[in-house]
Amino acid sequence: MILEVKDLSVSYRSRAKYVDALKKANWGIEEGEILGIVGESGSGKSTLALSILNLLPPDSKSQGRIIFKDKNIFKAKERESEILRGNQIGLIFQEPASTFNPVLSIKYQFQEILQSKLNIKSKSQINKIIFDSLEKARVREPERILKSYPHQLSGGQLQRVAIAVAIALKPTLLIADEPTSSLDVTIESQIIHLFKELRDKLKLTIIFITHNLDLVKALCDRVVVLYQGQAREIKSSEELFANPEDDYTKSLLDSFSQLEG
Amino acid sequence: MRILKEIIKNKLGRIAFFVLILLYFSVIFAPFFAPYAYDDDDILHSYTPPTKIHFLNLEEKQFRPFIYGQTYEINEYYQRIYQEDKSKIYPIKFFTKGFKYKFLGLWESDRHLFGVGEGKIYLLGADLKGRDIFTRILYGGRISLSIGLIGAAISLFIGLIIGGLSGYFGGRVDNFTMRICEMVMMIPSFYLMLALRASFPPNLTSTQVYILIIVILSFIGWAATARIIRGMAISLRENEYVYAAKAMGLSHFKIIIRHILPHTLSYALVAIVLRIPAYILGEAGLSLIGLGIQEPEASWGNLLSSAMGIVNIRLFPWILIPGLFIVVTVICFNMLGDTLRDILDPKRRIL
Repeated sequence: MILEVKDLSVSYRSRAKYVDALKKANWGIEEGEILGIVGESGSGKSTLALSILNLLPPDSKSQGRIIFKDKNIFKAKERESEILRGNQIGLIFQEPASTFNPVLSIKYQFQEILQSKLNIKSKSQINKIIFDSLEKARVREPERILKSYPHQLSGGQLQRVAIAVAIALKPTLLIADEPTSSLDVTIESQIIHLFKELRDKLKLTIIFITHNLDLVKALCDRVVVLYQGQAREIKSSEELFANPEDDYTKSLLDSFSQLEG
Repeated sequence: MRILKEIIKNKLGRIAFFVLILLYFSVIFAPFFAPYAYDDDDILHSYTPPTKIHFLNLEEKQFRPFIYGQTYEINEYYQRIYQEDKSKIYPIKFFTKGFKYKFLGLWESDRHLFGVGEGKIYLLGADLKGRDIFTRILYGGRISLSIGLIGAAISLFIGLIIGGLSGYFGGRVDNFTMRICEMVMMIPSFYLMLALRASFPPNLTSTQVYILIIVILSFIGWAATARIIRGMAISLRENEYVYAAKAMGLSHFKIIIRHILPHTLSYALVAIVLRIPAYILGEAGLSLIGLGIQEPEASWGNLLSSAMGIVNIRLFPWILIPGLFIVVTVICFNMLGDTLRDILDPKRRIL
């Protein structure tokens, strides 16, 4: 187990009382595995991603443990967490257009992250890593893209660059929080393909958060079904689609197949 | 560069910009433009009115600028009444030799834009000790105009850092710094200025007073800037690229410097320009009541201090001219600030 979530409960403060976002979640992920996390809006998917990175907002409460490489993430000091983020665990966001600072060029932002996270001073070495990872993320015309500003690029291009930035730091675990929700279908399938490729080539472990069962079927080895903060079912994806046990999972699959007609 | 072009396109902005450039330029090269040194006194010319410049010399049939010499007689109230002494003619010479000075602090020179040799020329009149007010305005402008720029820059710098930190971190840090801000803003600024000045010894050298005034003005000024920057930082920190930077494990310091503060800069630029007048007026206020720059050093504030009595203003109205320079400068900075705001923020989101 590279990552283990034990009895994780997270609640947010709303006015006077606390509202539970996650209730006693228990699951783990093996190295080299792609784990899908499925659920509707508000089921606690994104809270899960934030708690793995120890980035929960200050007005939230969390209980339980997240163990990454035999260390409890919640017990880590601020400095250790900073090293953990990026260098060990990468995060890909839903909205590629807003993950980049609009006033700085792609190249500048890429270099800045590498310089501060990898402690490399030499420009040529950094450029080598940049082009290397852009190639791994299958970015076409890297020269032009590096020179551009975020608004000059399409969502698909930006998401690839975001993936390139994440893998440039050589993390062992990659969390993708609905990475394709804002992209159109052709780009979506390319990105899904890219994730598979990354797992095979770079031995990345990937947590893939989505609400789209299609993608889960296509990509994931195992699936966690989240509903109202609770993990309803944890299974290999083949088995989940073949014989769902939980009521919620069944209705989810039903609505899915109805749409498919 | 784009901003500069837009300023020049705007009518008010263009006027303000060029007037300010002219002011700063002439102040930087004050020793060259000034016919005398700032402390050249001549008690025989106490309160000389502005010298008339003549062009047509009928006797020699020449057309060139010149001035007459001056004599005075004392009237029944023991006041000097100056008159032109037509027997003495001093032609105005350009690029003439005068007192020695260091040009930009680099090399020595004794060239001046104009001079009249033996005579005395007072473009804007003379003060009690017979010092040339035009000269003293140029030298005083060095202090008044630079205090405005430096003071505003320092308080902006402090405001950016404190506002950025407080907005970004929020919570207890925010609470603490904002209460301090409010404490500074709560006290009427002129009284605070006086109190701060009074807490330092009165017998300081001019340089010390100069630095002290800058420190006092920035101490008062940072709070307002910090509060606005804080507000912007709070909204900026919710941007997804800030989360992305956090998720990438960038340090807080780097996030504030790279991803928060640069976005407040357009506001900051407008704020700095609009706040400069406050610093110029602050310095003028302190010097006016004798707590700022001391004689014989000149500043626009202490030049006006001799104009405090109604009798002086009635008899020698030209000693009010330094006030005109303050008014023009303040208006120009305000016009420039307004223009900048319109350029940088057409929808007036911020101010």
